Amino acid sequence: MAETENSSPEIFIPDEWSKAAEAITKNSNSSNPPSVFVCGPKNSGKTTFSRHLLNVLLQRYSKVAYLDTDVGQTEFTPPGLLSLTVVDKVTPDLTIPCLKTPDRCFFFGDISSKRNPTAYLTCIFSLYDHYRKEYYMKCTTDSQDSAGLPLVINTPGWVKGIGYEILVDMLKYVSPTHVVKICISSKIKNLPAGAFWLDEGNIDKVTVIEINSARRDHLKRSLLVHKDSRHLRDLRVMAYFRQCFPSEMNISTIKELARALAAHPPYEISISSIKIKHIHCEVPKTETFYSLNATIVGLAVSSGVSDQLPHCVGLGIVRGIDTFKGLLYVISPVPQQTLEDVDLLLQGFIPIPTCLLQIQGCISPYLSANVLSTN
Amino acid sequence: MESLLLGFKEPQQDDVVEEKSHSFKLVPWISWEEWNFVKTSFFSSSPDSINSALQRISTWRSRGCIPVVIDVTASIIEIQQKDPFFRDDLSEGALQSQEMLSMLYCMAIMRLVNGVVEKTRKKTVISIGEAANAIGIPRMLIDIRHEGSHRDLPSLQLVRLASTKALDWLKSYYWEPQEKAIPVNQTANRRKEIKCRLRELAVSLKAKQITRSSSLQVKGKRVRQMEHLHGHNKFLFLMAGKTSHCKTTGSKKQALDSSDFTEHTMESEIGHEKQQTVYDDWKSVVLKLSNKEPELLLNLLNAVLEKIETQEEIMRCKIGEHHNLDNFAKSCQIELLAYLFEWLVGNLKTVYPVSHKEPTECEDSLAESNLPKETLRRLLRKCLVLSCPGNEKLMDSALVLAQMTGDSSLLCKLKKMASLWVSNSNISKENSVVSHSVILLSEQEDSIRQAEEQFKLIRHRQMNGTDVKPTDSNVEVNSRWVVTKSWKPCPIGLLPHNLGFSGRLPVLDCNDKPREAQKVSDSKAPWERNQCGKRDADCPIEELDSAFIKKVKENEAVCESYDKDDTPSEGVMGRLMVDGVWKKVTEEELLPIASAIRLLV
Repeated sequence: MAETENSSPEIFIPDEWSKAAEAITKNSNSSNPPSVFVCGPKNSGKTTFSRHLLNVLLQRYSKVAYLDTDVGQTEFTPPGLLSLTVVDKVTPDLTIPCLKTPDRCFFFGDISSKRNPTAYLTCIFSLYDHYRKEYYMKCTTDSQDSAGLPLVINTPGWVKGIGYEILVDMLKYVSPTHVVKICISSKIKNLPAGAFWLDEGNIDKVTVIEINSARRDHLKRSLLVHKDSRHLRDLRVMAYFRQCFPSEMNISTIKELARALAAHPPYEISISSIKIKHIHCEVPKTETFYSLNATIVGLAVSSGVSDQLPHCVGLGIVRGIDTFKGLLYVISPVPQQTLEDVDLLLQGFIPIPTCLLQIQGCISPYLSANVLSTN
Repeated sequence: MESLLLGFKEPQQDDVVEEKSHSFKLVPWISWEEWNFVKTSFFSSSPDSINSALQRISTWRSRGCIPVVIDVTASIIEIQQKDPFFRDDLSEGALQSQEMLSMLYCMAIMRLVNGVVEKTRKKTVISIGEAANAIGIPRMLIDIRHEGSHRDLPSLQLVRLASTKALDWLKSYYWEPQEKAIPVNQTANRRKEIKCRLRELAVSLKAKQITRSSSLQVKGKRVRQMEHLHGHNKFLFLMAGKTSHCKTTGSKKQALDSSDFTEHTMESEIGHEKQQTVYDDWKSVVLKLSNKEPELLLNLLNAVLEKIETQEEIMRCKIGEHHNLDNFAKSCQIELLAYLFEWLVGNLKTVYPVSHKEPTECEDSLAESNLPKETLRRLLRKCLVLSCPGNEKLMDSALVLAQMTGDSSLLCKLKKMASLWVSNSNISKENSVVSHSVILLSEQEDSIRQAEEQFKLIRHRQMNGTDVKPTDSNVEVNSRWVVTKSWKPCPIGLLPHNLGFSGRLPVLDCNDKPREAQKVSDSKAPWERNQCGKRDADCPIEELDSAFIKKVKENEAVCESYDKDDTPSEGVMGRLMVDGVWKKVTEEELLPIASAIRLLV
């Protein structure tokens, strides 16, 4: 099995990593697809490794399922969403992420699980259950293609305190076949050694692979690539809304995108035909429009059963509210047919990138000059 | 839906864009008025207003960018509202225990110190105490924070005292300095100044006219003329300065309040001046201003149309009360207004030459060099609705506007209508009074038919010519999510304005009751219904029809009143030929006839 050529010059896949990926792939067969849980501290390389692992798995399997649990740095969706995506194409360049339509998606509404760990776990468990139901139980006598799909689970880099507890809960529920722990040289920051989430008796069922982060300096200290995560999130949101326009349209700078969005005719939906829910905080009913105007909302389809989580089809920007006409104006790249089912707007804490609000001569009123900085 | 996340070309340069040394920050309030409302409510003594401010704060918190000082102020005030020490009218059931209250206060003070001080210091360089001193926080608050997190809970009396001190300090540290930094006063002053100047100019022009019409001493005239010129130049200079200033702060519209302007132009010709030369002086002013401020023309046009509308309304209402003279004066005013309108439209044409660009292509959608067709169509519609038959000037202006839209068939239709009206007015002049009303009615019929056809055409064209994806008409009717048919670019958070790209502030208050009422009506018509008042641009065909019905009715009313007012020898005046016999018909009987005509049409 040939290794994927490394066509991304800045990404360095050490031998240890490729061996780990190979090991996972080789030792599995189609009736027992691997489920791989990737974890480790911040900036250790989890996302890069999982992308590499996806590519390797795709050489053997036609499709691989990807459960994205890192709400702050999502892989195939804009931030704030928890999703299960079925990938069937190899990513040629590991530096450029792609936007894909997930198979199932929930709007978590925040860039960290901190605000509501219970809801976070509920969504993830629901996504995993969906994977089991749809993509795992088909093994028996079918050909390789319709066998169970392997699953790759990416996690956030929060490995201490509440984050640790959340990881343990996830591991206990999912019971993956492989756990890949990426370690950095500063030992206190790593996860505990071994199968830290399991009690004594069950260690045999899982393979724990510990690998080190990719780069080290001459003193063998890990060199971590620090990312401006807020900026990356903004870029991702902007790339998501760039999809509102046809790809032939020449928009290559942020300013052009902002202008185009301000001029783009939005969808109008009457206020009485949509429900609005503020997920993480309580807003009095009379103030709901003050809260919604010029924010990012999740577009969701409420399910018939009351305790089932509403499915999210994408994000939208509420760009204006006309109370006289009773209309909400929403910009969204979601296609109109899919939108027809949407009857629920979910508001969370996904910040709207300020560069989208800042157009020369057309500045949003929520961007204000003369604000005293109390720093 | 799969797409590559292409990097945008400006990676990390513009985190904070500097515009004239102002850096912009995301805030949860839509205007400084909202901020002011919260401030005054917080520091007032009425629990109700405090409550409304607290509600607004919870909304701001949901937006995620609330400044920590505001958050903390709100927390402290909220706790004080639950404390019987600060509020005498608390009911017995709502009391918290002393322990709870001290915990609440303590937490709020901790958040205050951490939130405000922690951001200002580098952790290893200076201690919290030193950093706090630098800002001027009362020492008591620092101590309480320390005590509360490392030792026992401080007593309620102590934390109550501390809360008052904290509020006073917050007022002096944030609320009052921020209020001073708000630029509100500047725009208000500017407006006052401009109004003042306009008035001066109006006075001097009026004086000029008086000296012109009544030939006084030559010397006096010259002095006044010089004064006038001086004022004129000063005014223009000032306006030029103000507009360039205003552009960056985005308060162009407020600064040039066009209704103000038209007020002054109206005042300048009140009374006996029927000549149209009165406008000549103002014309040069308008020209110069419109060079700097291209939106001024559009604003003026709209304002003039509104004036005409109101004058007509007044005329209609006053019919029967006053004698003809007043009416006559009013109709003269309308004439003058129409003349002004025509001249403005002529100017508009020179400023925006007819372009042959496709409506869908608009590369730089915010550039104002190309007057959008939408605006023209709206103006045209309004003009046609207003022009009473026989008002040639408005008709001509309408023709010019139609020409500017570049729509040749529309132009044809309008020309036909114009010729019809001309013949109509000719007929009404020539014929005897006998068949006056009858013929008028039949001509009205024709013109209504034509107009209705024509507006159907405009609407049809609009629907086809916009960017809406061609969907099934059935789907369009039933779908809830519909792409807006016509959209003007405007900042995110605002609603599009009829003219220009600055947008208008939305009204975001909502009550539950009207919404429920809306639900009932909306369930019948799932797509949007136009419930707006006059200022709304989108004018569905039903509204126009009713406008025309109004015209028919009012013309009948006019006829009737004229007949009443004239000599009592009636003959067949004021009668309608019904079933071959001249009958006198009342208003109520006319209404069903009018609606019947509509049905025929």
